[in-house]
Amino acid sequence: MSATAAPSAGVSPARRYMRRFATHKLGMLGLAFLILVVLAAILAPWIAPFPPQRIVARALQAPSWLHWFGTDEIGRDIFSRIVWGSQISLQVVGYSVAGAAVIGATIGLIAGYVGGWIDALLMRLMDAVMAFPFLIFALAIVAILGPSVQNSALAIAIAKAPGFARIVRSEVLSLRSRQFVKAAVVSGASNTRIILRHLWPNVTGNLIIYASLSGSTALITEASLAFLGLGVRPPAPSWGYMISIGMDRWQFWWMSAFPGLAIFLTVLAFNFVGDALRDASDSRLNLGTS
Amino acid sequence: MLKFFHFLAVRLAQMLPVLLLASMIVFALTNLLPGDPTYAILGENAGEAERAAARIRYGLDDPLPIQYLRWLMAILSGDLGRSLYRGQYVLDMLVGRIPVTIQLCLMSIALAMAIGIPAGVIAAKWRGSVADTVVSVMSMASVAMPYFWAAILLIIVFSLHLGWLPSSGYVPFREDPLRNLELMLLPTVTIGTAFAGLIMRQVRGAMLEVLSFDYIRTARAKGASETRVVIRHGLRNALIPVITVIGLQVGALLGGAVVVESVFSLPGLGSMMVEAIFSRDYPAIQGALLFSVCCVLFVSVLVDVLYAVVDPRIEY
Repeated sequence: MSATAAPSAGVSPARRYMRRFATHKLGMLGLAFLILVVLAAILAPWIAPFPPQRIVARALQAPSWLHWFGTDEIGRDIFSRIVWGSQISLQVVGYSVAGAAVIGATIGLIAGYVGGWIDALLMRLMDAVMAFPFLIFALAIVAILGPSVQNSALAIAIAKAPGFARIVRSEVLSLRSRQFVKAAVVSGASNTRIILRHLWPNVTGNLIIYASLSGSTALITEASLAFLGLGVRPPAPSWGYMISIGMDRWQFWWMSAFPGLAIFLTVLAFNFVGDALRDASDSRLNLGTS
Repeated sequence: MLKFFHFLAVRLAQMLPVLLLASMIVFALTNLLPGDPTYAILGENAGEAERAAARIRYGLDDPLPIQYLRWLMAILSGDLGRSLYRGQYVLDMLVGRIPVTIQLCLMSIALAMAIGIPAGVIAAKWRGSVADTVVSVMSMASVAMPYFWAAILLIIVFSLHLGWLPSSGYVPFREDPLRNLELMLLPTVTIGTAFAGLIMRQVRGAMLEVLSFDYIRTARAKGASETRVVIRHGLRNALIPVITVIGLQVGALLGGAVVVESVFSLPGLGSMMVEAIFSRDYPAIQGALLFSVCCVLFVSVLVDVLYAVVDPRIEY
């Protein structure tokens, strides 16, 4: 994956990567679904047949041609609420993964590049954060900061950052011993230049793979927090929160079944895309799926 | 044997700095907050003089490092403080709650192994068959299912429509073992099937690798039956990654228990944590956090020990 590797058969590495990704059927399927979810989030006001917070029909109606996924406990259209809910889910996933990547990559770069006691201290700290069960740690942070969408994203970002730090650090350590980095050091390049120009571009590949697999964890965690009542404030539509209302009304299965299906399919899509990205790269990164 | 204890001691010693840092995180989480902690202790209506007295009594005017050391010493002597909400000692609360969570976790792991190991072996043995595809789809699906959703679907099907199993409640095992198992079955299935997916994946991958090794060919050549080759020569070596998965996922298991316990209203660690969060009961939150960290670190040591038991090539 080095930037200096000669492209075989005159095809750029990026293009070769994309071609290999395109042959991965599940990966393409996942990507298509994620694009659909993003479109739903952006176009929610035009796609959703009804306003998400307004009472539009009799409460607790089973799915019908008019209300595809039925209506909820006060008569709001569940399909419309799921479409609008994608905005919240994607926001939390986006902010938390981006935040985790920025915090984690910075720590990983510093630890790997500076080394010595700073490395030891930072990485032990990351170990300590990782020793907490992910959801329980996120729960504690939200509990202390107060329940909200922003705090859910922040909590997930903090809990997820050590994973990014570890990957970036190990990558930086192996790159530092490579010839082209040594050459840059010998030729008198500044630290900033070495980091930005020589290390960073070679770290991004694994970072993107890890980020897309983290998307699924972030989404499930956000939904779990909302389910437990620590995420979005009602009446805003959130998939996890909608399931928790459905929980008290078992006989009206559509209230929890459809929002759950939205979470399930989106998580599956993130996993497919992450797996495909990994298979398409030369990376032998073993991350598990959760 | 002496070597073994030496190994154990070294591993436990390596764990200490991480544990210490984790305790600092727990302390920092609940003490670096803006706001006057005397409001949590005395309530909204206390006067300024009372607050000042409380600050001196609880040492809240001391520098944070001193407060941390005092807090750590108290914990090491077994004093986790009193719950602000229930007035109970946090340690007593933990002792009452932990068995429920541990039972749930152990039953879930057992179920996950009972499903995951055979399924993974079958998928690897008949690679590319219909069975292999079914196993792959199931493992992908079970990993992507949020626990609380799976739990609700199970309740809708098995409690509501079929009426086979209760949807919530808890009876201690000692009082009524059968009723206990009946109540724990759906929570176990919820977590266990999700973990079975992870185990299937690992076993399949490991078996495929192991079955391509030379000694498997040798075993076949000398006339060992296919079952013996697969189980005795193959599976035994493929089990090592299974231990790794279980070890790495204890955290996820405890996190899952939090959610599942609140769906099935089981009085375990998870529901204690959720209750503590809603009542802003910081000592109880601290206790639950500390316990879960110790659990994860302890299991990571246990996994290292188990490696050595399963794999005779590993020496301490």
